[in-house]
Amino acid sequence: MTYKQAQIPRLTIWWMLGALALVVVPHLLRLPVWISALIVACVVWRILIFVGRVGFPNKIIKMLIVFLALPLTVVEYRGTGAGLDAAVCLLILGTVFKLLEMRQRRDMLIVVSLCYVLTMVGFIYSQTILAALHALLTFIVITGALLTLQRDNRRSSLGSNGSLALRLVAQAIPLAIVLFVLVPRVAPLWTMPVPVSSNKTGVTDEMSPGNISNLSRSAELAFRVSFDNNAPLQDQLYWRGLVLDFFDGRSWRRAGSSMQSYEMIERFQSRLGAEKLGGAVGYDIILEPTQQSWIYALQLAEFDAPDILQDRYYTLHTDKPVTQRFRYKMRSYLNNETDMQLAGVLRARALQLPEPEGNPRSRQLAERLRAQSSDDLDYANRVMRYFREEPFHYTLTPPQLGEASIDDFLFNSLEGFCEHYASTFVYLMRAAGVPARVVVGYQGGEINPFEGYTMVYQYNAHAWSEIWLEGQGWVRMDPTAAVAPERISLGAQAVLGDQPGFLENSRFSMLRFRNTEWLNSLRLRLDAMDYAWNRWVVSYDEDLQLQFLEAIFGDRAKQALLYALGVSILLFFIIAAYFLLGGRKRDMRDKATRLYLSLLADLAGGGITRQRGEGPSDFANRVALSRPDIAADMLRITALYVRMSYAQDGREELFGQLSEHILALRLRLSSPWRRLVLRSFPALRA
Amino acid sequence: MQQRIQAAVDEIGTVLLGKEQQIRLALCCLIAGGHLLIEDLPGMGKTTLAHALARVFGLDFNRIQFTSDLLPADILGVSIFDQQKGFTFHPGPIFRQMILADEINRTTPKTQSALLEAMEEGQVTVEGETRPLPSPFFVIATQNPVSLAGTFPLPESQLDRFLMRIGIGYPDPKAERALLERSAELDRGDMIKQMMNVDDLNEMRSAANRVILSPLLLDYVQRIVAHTRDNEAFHFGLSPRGSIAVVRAAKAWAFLEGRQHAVPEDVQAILPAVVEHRLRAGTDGDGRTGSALAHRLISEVDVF
Repeated sequence: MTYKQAQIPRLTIWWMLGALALVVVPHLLRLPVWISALIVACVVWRILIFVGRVGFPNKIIKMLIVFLALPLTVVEYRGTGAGLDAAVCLLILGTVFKLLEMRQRRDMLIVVSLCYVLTMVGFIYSQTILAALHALLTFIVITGALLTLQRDNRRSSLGSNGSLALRLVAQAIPLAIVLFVLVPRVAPLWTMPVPVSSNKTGVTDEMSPGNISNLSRSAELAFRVSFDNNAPLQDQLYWRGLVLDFFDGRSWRRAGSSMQSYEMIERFQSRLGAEKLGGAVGYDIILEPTQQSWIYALQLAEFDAPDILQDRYYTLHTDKPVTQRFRYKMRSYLNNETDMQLAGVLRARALQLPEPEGNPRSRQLAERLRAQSSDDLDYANRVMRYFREEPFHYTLTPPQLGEASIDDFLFNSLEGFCEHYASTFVYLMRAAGVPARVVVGYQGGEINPFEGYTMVYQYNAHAWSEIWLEGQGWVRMDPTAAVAPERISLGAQAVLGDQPGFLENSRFSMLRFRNTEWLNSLRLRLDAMDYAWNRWVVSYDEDLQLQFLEAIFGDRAKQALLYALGVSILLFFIIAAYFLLGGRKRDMRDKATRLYLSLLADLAGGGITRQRGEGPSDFANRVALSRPDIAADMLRITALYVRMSYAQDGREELFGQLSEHILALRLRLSSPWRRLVLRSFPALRA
Repeated sequence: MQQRIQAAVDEIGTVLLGKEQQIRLALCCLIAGGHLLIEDLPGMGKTTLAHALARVFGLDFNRIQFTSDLLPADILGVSIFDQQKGFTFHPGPIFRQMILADEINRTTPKTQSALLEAMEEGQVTVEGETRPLPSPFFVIATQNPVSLAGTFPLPESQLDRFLMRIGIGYPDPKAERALLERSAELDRGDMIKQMMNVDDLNEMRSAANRVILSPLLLDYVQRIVAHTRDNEAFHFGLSPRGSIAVVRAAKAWAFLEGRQHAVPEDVQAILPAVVEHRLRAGTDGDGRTGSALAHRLISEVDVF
């Protein structure tokens, strides 16, 4: 019976089951229920085998399980596209099935390897600190399971095994850190779109009544921002996402394809440009994955990133959907003048309205108010005042609107969320011939007092409007500010906190407990940790690596990177080799013996070899017989050496004499060249 | 002291010609406080050596000839009923400072065990009463090679009780000639002069005890022991009692050599005598003898 076929020790099974449980549990929550049940059933079966209640499954049962599980998985994941989830699911099932037929060490090694792989697979779904700590713990347990295979289990307890596994993993960490920091970052060869639940996608490119208020049910993080200097005031934090300028009577969309907009920006930027007034606000955003290709920034942003595009509406896009956390730096000019001229297609778009006879009462209102106003700005302010003075109500749960949604809202329900106000405001503007558009994005944010960055959550989602005024360009108008000014100045939390639907989808979010002082502080601390983790670990990419290395090595960071990497790997192997090869035979002998042995080595070079079992005195006598010329030296040296190392006469002067005599004799024995070396480099003497 | 030792060795040498090494080993064994087993063919001078040793030190000496019908009581003593005094104990021949147990392997294991127990414990228990043996107590046992007829070989466990096992060997031609020339004067053993006394012996023992064992030397001894335990050729390794014996004998040898510290050469000098009988009692199926194994140890284990 070879090693690989040998039986698995009982202790190993426990460790293995523990490791597998750690690996699989995070996936269990995500997998379809029947697969989770199958996994649990297999593990229970394995435990029953282990305690001797049932036998191993026979061939037919195994075949049956596999041929049932395979098509079921395919059916379950049909239509999810790329099939990453299905692949992960199959991998987990395979691991658990292997566990069922794990009899020999060989099988066990396969399961262990699969566990390591599955631990890494976990990072596809979550890259938080918690996930990293979980992976670390899992590695320790898997390593512990491996150790039980290799060690004599009668001698190892749970604790000793665990601590050895811990030590092994701890020893690997420095190397892992070096590799993490130094290995050149290569962009992934392909990326897999990871399906995520809808409340993570954030603001969408279509605004219809209800979809922004839906977002406010979620406490998911949208993005985090750290400002280079002080953060602007809350009512300045309008994170522009998309400009929606096409209205079909119910919902707002983007007019034209986005590609057209990209093309236009090229011409536009060269001809008109936008006037930047005042100083810039610099900030750094880490966007949570949205699966969308637009990103958020304050007004009129300026940037250096090559993979970000700015379109005609000064909104920002990436060249592919944001499937992983995305970090970017921006500079925004909060005071600006854009589109001082508005003509042609753009003007037409900004005035577009669906069928001219819809919403007649609203149109009448618009005409009436416009007639009372001196100019467009006065008109806009009048409309704002109308919102403020009429009994409009800001609510998360507005009633359903009828066919003529604007009329219905303005004159019947008077209850709505920001999308209703923005939509109605733009409608009224356009009805009176004032160019206007809807902007969706986020408004406000919560400042983390521990690290000073701003957290923007999904419930900060907002819609507002921009109108075009002669001589001023596009001006932001937020009708929500007229209805519920606290929403803008204090944030969504302050206004919506008491409303029934708020954070409804995040029942367990710590945000719900923000009135409990210590829980709130704990939440902010945890978020700060997570932010630091994301900022320095998860988003550690090519650029950050280069920055980091430039900070250390200056301009030649790229070469330095390779050198540093090479040197560290070499160093690692040298250290490992030292401990693996030399460590066991490390020279624990005293310095006198080392000195004496150096002489013996020289003598052996000269043809006089000491036999293995020859003691120093015997050897000296033999040398004295064969080489009378050095007999006296040899006998004296040996006497000194024996006195030092066997009679334990440890006096320093004896050692001085010994080294003196030995050096003298060695010099006599050496060739002229070697004599020179020995004289010049005392370190080489031993 | 060294001259007196040399004089004693020379004195014994007058009866055991040309065997100085064996005499010194026997002396070493005596100083180390161990018991000695002399194994050789009949007529090689085993008894002579034992006799001479006893006389040189002026020790109280007794010889027990082991035969196949010898009983433990014959060695240890027996209580005899006396009309006047009741039971009185009549000590056996073992109550002497030096015992020559001649041809120990000709007696039954039962009797062998009685002697070996006495050797180990320094006391005998007869009829429920424990009686101490004199001090020093030194046993020289002789035995014929195991292969001879009518022997009960000592098991390994009992061989282990002897600090050393030595052979005498044939005399070289010159010594034999001298032997033949004076064959007229037969038992010269009686003519050996006493060179030392028991106090000298005790003094030598304590001096030998003070010999320094450096870590380097102990490393060497441990390497030797480890070699016997790890190597396939050695069917069983040296026991801790065996390694202690090596160290004790090496100290006594270093003392005999006139040194205050032991060197590897001391270990090598006593190694065959100390470990041979522990490694292999006789010749095994592979034809490896204890002696060959001991010499392998010397040549294979590095001194440093």
